[in-house]
Amino acid sequence: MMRPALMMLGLSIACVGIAACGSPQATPEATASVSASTTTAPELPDGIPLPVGGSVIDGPNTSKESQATGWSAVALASPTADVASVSAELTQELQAAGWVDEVSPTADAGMSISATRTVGDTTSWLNVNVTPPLPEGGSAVTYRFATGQTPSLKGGGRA
Amino acid sequence: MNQHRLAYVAMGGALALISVASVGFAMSAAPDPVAAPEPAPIESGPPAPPSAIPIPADAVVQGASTAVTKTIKTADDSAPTSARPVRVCDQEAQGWVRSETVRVATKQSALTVQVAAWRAGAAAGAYSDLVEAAQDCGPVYPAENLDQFRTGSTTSDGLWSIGVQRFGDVLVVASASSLNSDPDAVLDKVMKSAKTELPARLSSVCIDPSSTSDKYLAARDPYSPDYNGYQRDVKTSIVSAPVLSKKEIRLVQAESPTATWRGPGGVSYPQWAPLVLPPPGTPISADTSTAPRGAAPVLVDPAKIVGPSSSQPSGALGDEPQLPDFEQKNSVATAPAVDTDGPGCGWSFTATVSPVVTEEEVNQQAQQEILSQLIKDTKKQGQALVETVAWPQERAEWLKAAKIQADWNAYYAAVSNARATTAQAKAAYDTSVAAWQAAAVTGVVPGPPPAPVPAP
Repeated sequence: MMRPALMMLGLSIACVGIAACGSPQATPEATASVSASTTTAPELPDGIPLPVGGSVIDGPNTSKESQATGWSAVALASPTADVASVSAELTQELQAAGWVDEVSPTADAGMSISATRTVGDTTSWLNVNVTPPLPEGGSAVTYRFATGQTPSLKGGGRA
Repeated sequence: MNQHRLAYVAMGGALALISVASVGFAMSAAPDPVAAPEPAPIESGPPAPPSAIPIPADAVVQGASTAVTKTIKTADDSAPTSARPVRVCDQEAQGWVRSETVRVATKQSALTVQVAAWRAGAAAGAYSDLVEAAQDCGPVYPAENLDQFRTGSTTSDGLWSIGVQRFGDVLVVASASSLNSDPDAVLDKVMKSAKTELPARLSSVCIDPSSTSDKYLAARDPYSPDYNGYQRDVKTSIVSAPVLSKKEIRLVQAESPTATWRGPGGVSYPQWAPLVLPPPGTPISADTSTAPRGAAPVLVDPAKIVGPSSSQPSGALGDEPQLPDFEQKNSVATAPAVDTDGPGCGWSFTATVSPVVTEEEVNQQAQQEILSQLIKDTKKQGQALVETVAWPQERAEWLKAAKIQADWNAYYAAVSNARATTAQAKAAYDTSVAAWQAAAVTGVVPGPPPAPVPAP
């Protein structure tokens, strides 16, 4: 019976000690270390937007060929955001960043965003899929990004 | 202010030291924590509910074996017996909860029909065991996409045939034997009767009375050593827009690597024009300078063939870059789900105690499985997108290298051809000179050699 009481006493004393250290007189160094521990989730490269409240769960995984580079990543959207709102939000942000995109519904009730952006003789392609909400969570958002030389062919529209 | 701060820090440090020491002392003498016992693995199914306790399967099994034999004319009937082992080829199917067996005889065959019920999902596992057992006896003929098979053979005791079909969590096992007639005929009637009788009996008490094969069914039986919970196929798809239009693709592929290098044209070589012998009997001299000549060959001097202007390739030409196919990707993730109703005929059919699962936990696992599939496909598609973007230029570079290769191939072929044709022209000239000189020995062109006399 004595030992648990002794443990509790020790822990209480420790709390008092830590409280003293964390008083308004705490050093600037201590404040900095707290800030560092609340780092946000890694963002996507090339200014590609994540859905609000979403987080990257895989990637970015880079791919490189002699004439093109790119990456892929999968993010999980907030459980409270539905497919349409996630899709609309991403589309809006992409357009604001100069992307030309097309949005279309997929067979599984998700959304597909295909976007391109050309700067000089370099074109970037982006494919984003917003899946229907997963069990116990929000939509998965899959990203495939590639950059390469703008095709100089006199081709028609998209296939 | 600084004195106060110093005092605070000193006091805090002292108190922290005391706390660490007291906690450490308390922990050191405390008994080792007892590990929570791990759940023992279930090696066999639970005991079947005693027959005194009624379960929905009772009404299905009772009288079923007799009912399915009613469509055949029997010469000798026996009363059905319950709780007999369900066997195929001397191997028993384990785990049944209720069973009924009837033996009847027709004029030419002896017939045994067994109808047995298993706990939720277990009939599918039992069916697989029976298929395995039947394979030891003879060839097994399973139905496509159905848990239904036939087997049969000829032995010294006559002909025998076995038919097995699963309906939900019920198996119908019928075996017929005959001395001198085909037992399949009577078995056909029995199994046809079972297809009517069993679904009708199961309709109100069984969730899925079908015979449709389901790879996940047996693994949903919580008392099976292969238990894996309720797994279902979840389709996932990743849609990607094409990078190039069909027209653009055709344009990239339009040009093929053909050689543009051309070698010099041939020159006439009168000195290698072959001598032409006059008709037989014509006098000729040994001097060949006045001999009549044939057409002068047109030859290319190999030493005068200049190679292509491009540098000779140092290595082998790589394969032509192919356009990856990445536009649509459908996959299937196997994800767990809460087994609310149970497999086969469901939990309540034989009063099977369902496993305790947390919906949240199952859903989290399902999410992980779906995400794993999406991650795998996204990586593949991401790589394919980069390859597609790189493809036009990579093919253009390959085409350039392939054209250089084709030019050098054409150059070497031209040199080789020039050497060969020059050698042939020289050889033809030498042969004509030799023939002339041989004829000049007699001073007259000889006639043709006599025709060989055919052997009698």
